Amino acid sequence: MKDVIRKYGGPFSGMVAQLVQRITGLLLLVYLFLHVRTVYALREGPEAFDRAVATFSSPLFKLLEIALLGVVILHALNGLRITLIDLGAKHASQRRLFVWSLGAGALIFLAGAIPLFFSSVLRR
Amino acid sequence: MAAIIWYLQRITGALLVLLLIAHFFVEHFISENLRRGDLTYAAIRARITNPVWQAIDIAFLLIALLHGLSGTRNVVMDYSRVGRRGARVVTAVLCAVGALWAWWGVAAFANLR
Repeated sequence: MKDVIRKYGGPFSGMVAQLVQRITGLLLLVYLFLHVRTVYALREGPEAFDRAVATFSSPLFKLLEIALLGVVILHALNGLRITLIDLGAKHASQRRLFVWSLGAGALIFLAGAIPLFFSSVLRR
Repeated sequence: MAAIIWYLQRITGALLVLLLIAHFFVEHFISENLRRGDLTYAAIRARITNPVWQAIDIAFLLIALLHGLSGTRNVVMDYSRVGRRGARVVTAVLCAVGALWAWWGVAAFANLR
């Protein structure tokens, strides 16, 4: 266990990152369930599908959509970071990798969240 | 076996990042009404009745299920103390859930009007 923690970062970053990875992963599975459920409404024709989508256009759901973007970015970038470490990223560069993925994640999140907020949340 | 599943989790994860970027681009940037967030049946139908897109979307779902349920198995195994037989039960249950879920997703595209 100790060398696993040492391998993935500092004394806490590895453990916290692993916990975050698991929680976000399970959340994304819940989202996938809702997503398939909505897409399934395509089968019932235009009215049923548009009704299903209308549920998700309230400002509350648009805010949740922004949160979803954050969850996806956390999970994807942390997953890529872990994969790069497994592929043999040097120990000295692991901390830099951690900082870079946090920075890149924050930028991608803002690039998506700001337009989403102004076009969707405030529009209605 | 465990090593193969472990590598598979990395490979499916990388694939999902690529598929997700494509999915985002197609669903949120390409057409004007989708960009505004007006996700209507008419806007979706044109793409979704194309068999190539159906194949891509179904592959996306299957890879996501493989990755998500395999990850769920890791979580369950780490926080529970089950023996070899218990592990097999967990795997069987998750496989059944995956099969049902996949069927559900594929059925969504069948007989579109």
